[in-house]
Amino acid sequence: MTTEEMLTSSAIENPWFRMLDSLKRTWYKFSRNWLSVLGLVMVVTIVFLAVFASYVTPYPQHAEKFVDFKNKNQPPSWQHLMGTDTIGRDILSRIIFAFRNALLMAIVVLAVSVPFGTLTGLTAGYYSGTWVETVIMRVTDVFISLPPIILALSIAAMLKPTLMNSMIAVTVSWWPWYTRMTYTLALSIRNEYYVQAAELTGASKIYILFREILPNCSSSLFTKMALDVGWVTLVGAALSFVGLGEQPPKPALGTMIAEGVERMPAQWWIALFPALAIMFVVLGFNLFGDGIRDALSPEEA
Amino acid sequence: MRLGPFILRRLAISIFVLFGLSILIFLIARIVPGDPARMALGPRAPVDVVERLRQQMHLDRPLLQQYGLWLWEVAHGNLGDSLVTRRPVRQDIREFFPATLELVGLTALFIIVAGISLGVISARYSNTWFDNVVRLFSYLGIVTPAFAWAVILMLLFGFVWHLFPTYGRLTAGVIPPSTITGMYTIDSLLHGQLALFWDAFVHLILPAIALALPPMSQAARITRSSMADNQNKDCFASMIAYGVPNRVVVGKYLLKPSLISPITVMALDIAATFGYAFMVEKIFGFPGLARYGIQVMLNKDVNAIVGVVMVLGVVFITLNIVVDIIVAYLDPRIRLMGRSV
Repeated sequence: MTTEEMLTSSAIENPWFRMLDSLKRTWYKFSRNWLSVLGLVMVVTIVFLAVFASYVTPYPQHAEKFVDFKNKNQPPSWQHLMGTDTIGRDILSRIIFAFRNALLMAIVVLAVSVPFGTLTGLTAGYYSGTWVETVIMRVTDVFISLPPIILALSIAAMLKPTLMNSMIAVTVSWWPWYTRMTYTLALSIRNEYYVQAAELTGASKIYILFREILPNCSSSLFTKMALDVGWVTLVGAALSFVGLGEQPPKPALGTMIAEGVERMPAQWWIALFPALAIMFVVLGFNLFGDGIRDALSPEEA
Repeated sequence: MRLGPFILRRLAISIFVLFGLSILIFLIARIVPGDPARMALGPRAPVDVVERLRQQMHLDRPLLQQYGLWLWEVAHGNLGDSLVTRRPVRQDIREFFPATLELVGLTALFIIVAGISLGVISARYSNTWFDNVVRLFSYLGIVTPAFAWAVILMLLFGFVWHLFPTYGRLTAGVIPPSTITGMYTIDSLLHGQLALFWDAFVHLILPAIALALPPMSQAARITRSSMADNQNKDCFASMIAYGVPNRVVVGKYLLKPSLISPITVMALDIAATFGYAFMVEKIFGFPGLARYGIQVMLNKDVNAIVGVVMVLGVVFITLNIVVDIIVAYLDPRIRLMGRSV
């Protein structure tokens, strides 16, 4: 046995090395597409801005209650890159602070709806043909019969308009889509030979669900999660646009657009820049998500 | 072609879903914190007035009985009185719904016609400059939400180029046509008032384009990829080798299987359009159901919210049935083997 062979054999047995290796390979495929890399850069920028909002914004004190009538309705200039709003607050600073809440919302919504949806979907898919599947999937059907934006609006309408409640509203309307996706995947995966082999060797149901089926759903799940950060931001902005999300003076992208629309012909920058900011978030996470999909898909592109 | 049994089974499922939806909406309206009667009347209303409203709304009964009574009323088309406008919710909805239906109808037309044709052309000429332009713009279209498009379009067409009106359903001072369907464009045509039709139509264009752009781009993208996947199959290569004209290959054989996934996605998107109409109608000052919806939502008008969501739910379920029938017609595997989509 040469040293080289010894190295590879020990490397294959070391799970950390294997993970690092597959990560390297994924990154290689991901970085081949410049659009995916652009997406990653946009995502990192958004996260960076959101986390360090108080340090990177030119006017951090403008994030919440602040009035400066001398500087109200200023068009974009070097002082205020995106202009100021009707009471003199810097729009760029407020957008960056709004990213914070938007990301927080996306994280909370996905942190609850992904595990819940995945678990219910896996269960329904594995127990297909039994009453468990019927109950889970029929309940899911009912939730899916309304588009998430409508369901989220109507739930938020019944609750007090706060960021927390809009998160609840979006979460309730988001999980069934993960259930549906995992269910469809689990249905097809459970007939694969490796699952049948595991069943024959007497593996437990838990083992099959979590070690055989779930890992094979993961690439679709990761892709959907990356895309959904953008879409949750969008629905959250829609809620706050209507007035059912974060309340002023706290910054929210939707509220800022709603305020700007009323000043539309003359002070166009008040509505336009928050709208472009939402577009930036959705675009960034879409490019990133598509990149993940391409990098994790087994077949060569 | 056994479409009949398929449709029957599909209808049965829809009735079940509708029933489930009514439970869901009822629960949303009842289990939320706070007393609906108190919320409707405000914190300063006297206790006996609130109590009377509670009895009127059957809030003093057990939950199951409340649901039964409510369902009985809804099944008879009675959605209760709006707690804010003090009119029957049904009357409010009948007044505002046609405007939204008109808007979403035109949007759907844009989505279907432009989305599919762009996708088909782009797939036929794949990897040419036209294809690349369509792909780039469809990506931008998808990621830009309808209300951002509304702001951008309003700026460009309303204030920079002055091509289209940006506010309301009709020019201020113009008298709407007398109501037949409630949709101004159709009513004015039925009355033969062409000038009025044109006025109502140009008012619809900008909001409809704003609503249509994201789903239209999505439809174009999916049509393109679905066509591109299918056209590399051997059966089409052999058809072309046998000398079947291109027009027949594409129009008769290629389009049918390729339209299945775009149609499913478009239906979902058109349904979601009712949701995005909430924002777009507000931006364009368009007096539709969505704007009424926002008003009642901000005022916690429980009956009206339930009414609006229930009406939208019925619309979506109908839309889904229609789409499933179209897909079953296109895909024999579904209609013959009863595989669900």
